Amino acid sequence: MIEAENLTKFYGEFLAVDHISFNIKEGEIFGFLGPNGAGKTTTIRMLAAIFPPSEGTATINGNDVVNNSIEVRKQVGILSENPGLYERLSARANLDFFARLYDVPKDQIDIRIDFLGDLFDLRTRLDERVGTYSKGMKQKLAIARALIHDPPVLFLDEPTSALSPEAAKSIRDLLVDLAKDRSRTICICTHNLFDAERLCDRVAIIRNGKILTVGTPGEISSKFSGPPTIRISFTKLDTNITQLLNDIEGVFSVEQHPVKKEVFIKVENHEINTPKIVKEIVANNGEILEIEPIHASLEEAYLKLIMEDSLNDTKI
Amino acid sequence: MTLRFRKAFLLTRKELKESFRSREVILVITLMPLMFAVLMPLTIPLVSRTIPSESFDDSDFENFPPLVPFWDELDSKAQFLVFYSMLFFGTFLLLPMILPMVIATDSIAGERERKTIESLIASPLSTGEIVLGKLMTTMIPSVLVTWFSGIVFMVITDLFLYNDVGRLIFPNLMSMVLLFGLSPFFSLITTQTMIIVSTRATGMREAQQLGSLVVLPLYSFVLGEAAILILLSPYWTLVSSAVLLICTIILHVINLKVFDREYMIAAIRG
Repeated sequence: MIEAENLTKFYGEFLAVDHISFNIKEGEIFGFLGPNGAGKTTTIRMLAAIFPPSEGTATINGNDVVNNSIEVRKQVGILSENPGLYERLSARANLDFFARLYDVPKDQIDIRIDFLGDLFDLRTRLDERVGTYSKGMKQKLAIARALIHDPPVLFLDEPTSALSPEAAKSIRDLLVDLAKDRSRTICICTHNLFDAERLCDRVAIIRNGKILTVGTPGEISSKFSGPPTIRISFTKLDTNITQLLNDIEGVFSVEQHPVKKEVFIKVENHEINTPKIVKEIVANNGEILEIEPIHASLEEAYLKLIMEDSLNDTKI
Repeated sequence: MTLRFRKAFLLTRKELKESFRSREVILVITLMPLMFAVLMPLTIPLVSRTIPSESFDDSDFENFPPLVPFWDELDSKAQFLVFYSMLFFGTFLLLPMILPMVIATDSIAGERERKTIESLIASPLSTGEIVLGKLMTTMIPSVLVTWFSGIVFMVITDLFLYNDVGRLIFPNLMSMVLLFGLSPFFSLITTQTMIIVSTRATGMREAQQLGSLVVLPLYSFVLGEAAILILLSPYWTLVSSAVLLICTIILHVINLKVFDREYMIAAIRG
């Protein structure tokens, strides 16, 4: 569905996107994660044929983003960083304008506007000026605008920013529905690792215009977030316990919580090492209250990757 | 690539709806014509009453080219009042240049300032269609308001001059050519210039400031055109109009070049 090969963008002398290659399958939710200025927005602007790449190629549904840019734009719905709505016009006039630009059949325009109004809980306020809307309502309307022509591909820059938790959840549910039930391909730029972990089938972590890694959130988490961790809380915490646990084979490190009666143990293998640790504690009269394996998180992996990459910059 | 006029007109329709909800645009589009078409001719009876006929000498306008076909039949005071009205008509030609300044800056620099340009650039409109849409947004109200105000100006001027001149000086060939033939060109050349200025300016205020600097020299060009029409001949008017047409075509080509999609959203780069 989306293929990018050596995609590169220079702004003057500044290299914003540095020869990145990836592909996104139909019906997939793909996330671009990265700090500010990483090149996420520039990448989706090139993919959406807003401006051409300096080098490399990209195709959307087989259409080249440079040579067939108008066809690409017809197939794409985009939510930019700023909602970019015409605030002096009503929400209905905004949607109507874009529906006509994207060649939505005339007899379908009102039906589509009302449908999206219902979907985003804006139906009763569609005829009001957008300038009177709250930030969250504007964000919903901007997403509705991206969906007005029912595009096969969606590019969304921070789709849940400015939304209340319940509105953010409804957007997440809608995106999953669009991708899974209606085979829409969705590409998201986000800082929100919570969103990325729950929404995306695969993510690419970008920094300084380069893709550091691509994979499912699970793959990236387990690959980059370090050894598995076990949290054990005690009814009574003996100060010697840290030393005792450190001596067990397969334990890399033990951290004692300064206030709570619990320890975090990094181990080589969660399944093999946990029974040994429990046995040892019990044999030494330790009273265990709770044991919990701590799953590797995307956040941890992301931070580690970004940190390592920035250290490489410092070395250079 | 073919230019889809219907698509460009969709943009124009939306922009007009939006522009007419801007207080600044409404103010300019109502106050300026009021000033040029109503307040300026209102001074004619005032001048007529203030300056007595005796203060004119028969030889005062003797060497003047005839400003109306019955010029020689008029006394000096009437000739002065006709001359005075024609001067105002020259000033009136500022109107088709001021209106595009305000509408074009709201439409282009304003769109960048309000950060709505990206969704437009991301739509399936070509650059040519966006520029054409913006051009029509500025041209349609500017030309219509100028024509309407011109008619009002001529009616009021005739009304106030009739006592002293005894004839209607408007409409005449010169005013018709200037109002209906050349003033749309004046609007077009200002619009083209303002589109260039607005695409390069960082905001509306800067666009308007730069625009004022550009429009003043353009106005001298317009006055020259009016002078050629009044003082020389229709032949020279045709020649100078051809020059004007070439200028607008060159400006349009420049417009298509400077309306760079990447540059337009550079200010909102993420």
